Amino acid sequence: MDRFFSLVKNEYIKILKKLSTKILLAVLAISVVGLSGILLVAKHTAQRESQWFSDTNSYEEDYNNEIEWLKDTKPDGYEASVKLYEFMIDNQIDYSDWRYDAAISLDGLSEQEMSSYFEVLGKNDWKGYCELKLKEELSPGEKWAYAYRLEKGIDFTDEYSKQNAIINSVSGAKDYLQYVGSDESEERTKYEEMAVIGQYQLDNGIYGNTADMTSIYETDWSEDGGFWQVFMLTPYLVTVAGMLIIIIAGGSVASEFHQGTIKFLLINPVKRWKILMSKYFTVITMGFGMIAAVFILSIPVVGIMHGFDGISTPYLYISGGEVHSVNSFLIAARNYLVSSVEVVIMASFAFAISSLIRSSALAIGASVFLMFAGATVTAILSQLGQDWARYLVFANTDLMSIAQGNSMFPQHTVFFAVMVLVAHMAVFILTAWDGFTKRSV
Amino acid sequence: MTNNSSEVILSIKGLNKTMGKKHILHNIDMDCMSGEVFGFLGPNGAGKTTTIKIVVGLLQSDDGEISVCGYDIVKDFEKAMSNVGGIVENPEMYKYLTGRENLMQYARMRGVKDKSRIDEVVSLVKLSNRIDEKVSKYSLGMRQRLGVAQSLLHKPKLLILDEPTNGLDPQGIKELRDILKQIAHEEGVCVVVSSHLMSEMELMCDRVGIISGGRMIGVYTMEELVSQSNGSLAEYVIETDKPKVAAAEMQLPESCISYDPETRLITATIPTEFEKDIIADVNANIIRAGCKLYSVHRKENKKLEDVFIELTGSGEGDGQIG
Repeated sequence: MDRFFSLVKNEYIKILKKLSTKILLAVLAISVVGLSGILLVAKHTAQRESQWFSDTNSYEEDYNNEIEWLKDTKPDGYEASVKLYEFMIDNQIDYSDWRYDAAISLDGLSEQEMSSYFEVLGKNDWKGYCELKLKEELSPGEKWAYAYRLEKGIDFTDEYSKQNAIINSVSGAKDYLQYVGSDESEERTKYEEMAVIGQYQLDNGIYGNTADMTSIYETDWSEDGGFWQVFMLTPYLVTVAGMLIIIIAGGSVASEFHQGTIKFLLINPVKRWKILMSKYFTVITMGFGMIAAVFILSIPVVGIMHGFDGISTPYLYISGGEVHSVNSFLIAARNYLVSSVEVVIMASFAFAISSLIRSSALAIGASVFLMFAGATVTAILSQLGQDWARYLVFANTDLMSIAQGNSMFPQHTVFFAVMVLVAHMAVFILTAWDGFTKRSV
Repeated sequence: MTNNSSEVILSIKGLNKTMGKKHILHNIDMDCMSGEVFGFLGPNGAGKTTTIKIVVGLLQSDDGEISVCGYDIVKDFEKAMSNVGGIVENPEMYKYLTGRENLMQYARMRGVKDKSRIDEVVSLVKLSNRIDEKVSKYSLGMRQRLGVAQSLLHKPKLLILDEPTNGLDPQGIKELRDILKQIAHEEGVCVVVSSHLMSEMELMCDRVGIISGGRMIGVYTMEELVSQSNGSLAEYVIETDKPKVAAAEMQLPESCISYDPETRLITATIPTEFEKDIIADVNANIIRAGCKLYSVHRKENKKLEDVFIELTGSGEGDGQIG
């Protein structure tokens, strides 16, 4: 065992002292900074776009324009609307005032109905407003929301913006559930969870959740989601680490052959399979090392570029009817690990080709090509109803989707996927073994 | 030169190897002893490198038994190889590492814990002042020296060097020769050196195994080869005014006489056993025939190189000693 680690140490030295490895590691570091940087630009772009309207007129001008338009066109009940805008001008209710939303929602009511609201809004009395609302006929979600605000003393000001966002989403979820009735569906489960988790957050004073921050396509960049909004996307970088480790794996055996050093490697008192395994062990541990480095480096990089806001925000999920809270770093680490499955498979593949054909270029080329084309080909095959494609390695690397039941193939279990992966790995390792231990040098 | 307590370090018995349809090695038998420099001599393509590659485990043999220090190289690979050091073909090292880093690689693989051993072998091959430079800056000769240092690192009982003088200048060749003799004769290492140059072997080997066409032609001590070069026949060059007449009247079998019309010299080959009597008769016969005998001149011994060419050049090397 001692000797085995000496072999591994040798391999690490050989890899790390190569100039090409240093360049690859630099590429990896640049990609960490690069992803964070691109997301910073995306954020600024999205936020600038969402703020466009506020730079034009003052709210008073807007309101006066509205009044003029109403007076010109005279739609039904326009007098009440005119009164509403005049009230807003008198009370200096601009767009950022909580009363703006409240007042606008009164549009369409009669003058008489409005007057009681004018009274409470004029006094800036949010409690009175909630009580008035509760006297109306409300949806269950709204009813809960106003009652909850009164109970917990949560007003509409910016001070409680986080609470209000959660209250709104819970209230929306409750209304949705009322609307769809008792039908069992995925959508219903989603809203049920939303309501339960929201309630949990309000009860425990946790005003964030990293659970929905894992897709780059669903992220709303106009809202600043703090640290986790960006960090939860960094597992995408595992693919970059994967390509680099494929390059290293592809060269690991083949380079000994074209440097001619293989003869000096094999005349040592070490059995060939031990040398091969030390190389494989080195490649795989180095792959995980690079993935770990991406993870660790991403923390300060994301933090410095996007801020550390909300770093203690947990990941909330429902299991067995109860809400569980997990440290988001653990979840991020899990996401990295799940993404690394594909990397390990492709690195093993590159390693096998490298020992068999002794050409690093071919090993690297074939592996990178398969990594990108494999998923597409599998998707096409599944679309064409070719069920055997589930035995392909690429149909099984995305363990997360399979676990969530989002596989392209019906009745696809994690157990099945792991079995397929293990079988492929075994074939790759045996191929490398055979190519390395028996061949003439 | 070999001392009395010498033991068999490398033993090869009945080694056969085919590659594809080509039968490359035929029943090679060879024993190499501790404390000797054994020359493994043969023309290019005779099977020297193949044999060496099989001994160090780079190739698999078809059949035959090879042991190093009593350990079978297949069944007891690690034990056998821990007694072997070597260079096969060119001394290819990791060019992006320094000489020392290269040696560290081998030290780790062979469990050499003593760091001072590295300095020892480095100074032995006279690389001390360049050892911390990258190997990419080394000349072929320096890489060859580094290869030798590498092979000596773990104090092997068997040192196998495949054409080690490749790329060395005359000074380097002499130094290498001295190193090899020293470790064989003083440290009792069995040194096996392959070469296609007899002249090189002559100066450093105690015994020589000659291989040709994949067959072992024979194993000779240097003394045996030297007497072989003296041979059982001596050649005389005779100069007369009428070589044609003289040749006819010499009373020697025609096959023993050759006559060069250009230089007008007769070459006579006669058995060394009765050399003096025969040459006296020949002289008398020439004079009796009325020719003027200007000079009779005994030719120098054949060179070892000629012996080698004779031995290996005899057709497909059927094992007959020439």
